[in-house]
Amino acid sequence: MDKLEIKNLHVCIENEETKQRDEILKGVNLLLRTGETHAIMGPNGTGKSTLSETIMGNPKYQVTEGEILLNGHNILQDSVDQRARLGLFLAMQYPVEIKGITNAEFMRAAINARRPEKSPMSIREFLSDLDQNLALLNMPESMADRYLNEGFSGGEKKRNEILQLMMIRPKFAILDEIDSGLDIDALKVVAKGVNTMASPDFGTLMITHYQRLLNYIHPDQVHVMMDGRIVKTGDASLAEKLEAEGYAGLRDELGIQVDLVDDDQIANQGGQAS
Amino acid sequence: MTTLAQSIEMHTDWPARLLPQAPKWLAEFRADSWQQALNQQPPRFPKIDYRDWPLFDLKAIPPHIDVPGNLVRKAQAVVTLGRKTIKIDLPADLIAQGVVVCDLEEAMTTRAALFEKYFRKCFSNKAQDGLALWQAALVNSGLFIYIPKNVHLSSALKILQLQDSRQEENFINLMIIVLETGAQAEISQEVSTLGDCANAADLRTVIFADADSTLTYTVLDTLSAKTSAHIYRKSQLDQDARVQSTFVEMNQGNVVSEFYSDLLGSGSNAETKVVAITAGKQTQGINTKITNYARHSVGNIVQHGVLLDESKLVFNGIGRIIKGAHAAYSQQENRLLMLSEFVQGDANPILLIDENDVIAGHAASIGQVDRQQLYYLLSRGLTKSKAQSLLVKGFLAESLSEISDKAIADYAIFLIERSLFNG
Ligand SMILES: Nc1ncnc2c1ncn2[C@@H]1O[C@H](COP(=O)(O)OP(=O)(O)OP(=O)(O)O)[C@@H](O)[C@H]1O
Ligand SMILES: [Mg+2]
Repeated sequence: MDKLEIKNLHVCIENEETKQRDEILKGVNLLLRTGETHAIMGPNGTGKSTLSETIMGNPKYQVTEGEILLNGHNILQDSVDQRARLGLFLAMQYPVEIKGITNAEFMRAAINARRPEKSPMSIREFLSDLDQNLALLNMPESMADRYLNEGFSGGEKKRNEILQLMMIRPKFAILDEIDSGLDIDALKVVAKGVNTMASPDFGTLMITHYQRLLNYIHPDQVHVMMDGRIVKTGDASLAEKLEAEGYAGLRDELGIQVDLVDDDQIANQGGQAS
Repeated sequence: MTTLAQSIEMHTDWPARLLPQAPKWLAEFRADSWQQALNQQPPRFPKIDYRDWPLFDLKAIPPHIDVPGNLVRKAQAVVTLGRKTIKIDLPADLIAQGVVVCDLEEAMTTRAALFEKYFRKCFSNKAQDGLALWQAALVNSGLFIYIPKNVHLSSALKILQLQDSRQEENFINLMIIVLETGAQAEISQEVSTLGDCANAADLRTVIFADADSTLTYTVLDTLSAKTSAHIYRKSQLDQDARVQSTFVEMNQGNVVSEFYSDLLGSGSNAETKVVAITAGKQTQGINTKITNYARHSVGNIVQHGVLLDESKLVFNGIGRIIKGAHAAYSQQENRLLMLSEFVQGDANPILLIDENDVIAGHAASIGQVDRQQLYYLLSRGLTKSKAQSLLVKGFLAESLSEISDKAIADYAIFLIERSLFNG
């Protein structure tokens, strides 16, 4: 069993205009083991993507305190590519487009980066893996020969993130809003892809706004993030409660001082529910 | 380092010595050119200073030395090494159709009239600059390719030319390509260096594309780090002729290049693509120019360059439209990708337009690797050098993917990866 442990993580980001440093994460603690599936929910702008990008090592985010341990080894000094080769994978909320590099050659390079230089994966093995995964994700074979994410629709980009996940087979996957922009059928297909990964050697951290995803990918734990902290952890029923009640109720219950972007809206909903 | 003038004064009889077998007209032509060169300067190019390069050092003429046996077995139909022709394998059906592919020595004797006509045309410009006169006087090797009227080459003609730097020797090479009316051909050429002596190289290709002819011309230049070179390639297009050139410049030494097209006939169409990579401390200065003389002529320049280490790369893109060239079209794109903070890159689009009803434009960019793209690749475990090499390939893909000679495209990609991994 592998362990990804986040301890008292504080993260700042520098505002490019004002040069001011804002603290986004204010002490996050989290323990994820292989074999487990965790979900993080939370209002817009509370730092969910910041957490995932920081785990991956995006240089835009500065860790000011705390540590991220992979099997006890602090990975904060490791570069992005080293972390990836240690077994971390981030399906990004906004995957970039890269012209001139085909999807297939990119995935092959990613797989071979994890193997000794002298024994790359054979093309035949790669293609059979690729065909199988494309079929499972209902993606046409031509997607493999297209340039990386270039001109992909929102939903196609998300599928492509899962395709990479299935090809690369990391130890831990962080899925940042993998369900956003997906139609109902696509959501099922993507969930099927993630579920085929399930094994005692694979752990998932899903970030989502919608309880619906959790119907398809069942979480062992649900964490709620607000204002840069994990403020509550529970089982799948916590997500259902949030879906019904919104974040304001939980905020007030926990006595957290934070403005939610859509406070008016939430107040209305709360009014109706009570 | 010798200047042009010093070189002429020191070596008055060298036009004759470098090509003793030249017929009388040619010997005179060479001697005249050598005389004229005394009063001419090498041309100046914006942002490219090559005055200190040893382009005009003349070396004692060495005897021919052994030819490595493997050269005969190269895939190309035509292989030359320095002054020597290793092989010319032309399919019998092409010979039957009157196609000529031979070296200069043979052209001078067996195709005397034809060769003289085109050789003179190569240097017919009244105001020859110092570099052109140097070439005219000293050319010591080369090829003559002649495709008669309406003949279509069914497969690409592949040429390998090696500069022989196993010893000190000047490599002053001329390639004449003639496509008569309606002829069609694809020619791909690889120019490289064998051996590691420091030598100068001067390469010239002149293309005569008669009316309605079509040529796809691809060149991969990989001259060695110890070679300082001047490369000149020019095409002249008659009515409705079409020449698509791709020049992949992966030389390792200092190189100044002139890639020109003259759109002389109405409806003629020239496209010049340049892909260049510079590394180490080298400089490559590339002047690419298309001149629209005729109505409805179309010129396109696309130049993509990648700079590593402490290198310098200059793209001067020149679109010139002459008065009277109504409805002419001149477009260019110059892009540079810098992979180190110590490089010096210049992309200068120059439009010189003397007619009103024309379409002309340019795009230019100089930048670094996109950080978000790099991060994305790294996040999948690719090492930084692998990620960069993919991004460079991506940057050059548009130009490289259209190269019809796959062997050249693949080799170019291999060289890109190698230069990135060495860095
Ligand atoms: N590059 C950046 N520059 C400036 N501020 C940033 C940057 N990235 C994130 N932030 C700020 O950090 C805060 C947290 O953003 P983050 O993307 O982590 O939120 P999130 O919880 O993922 O939100 P969402 O649910 O909308 O995706 C926000 O206020 C955001 O504006
Ligand atoms: Mg987010």
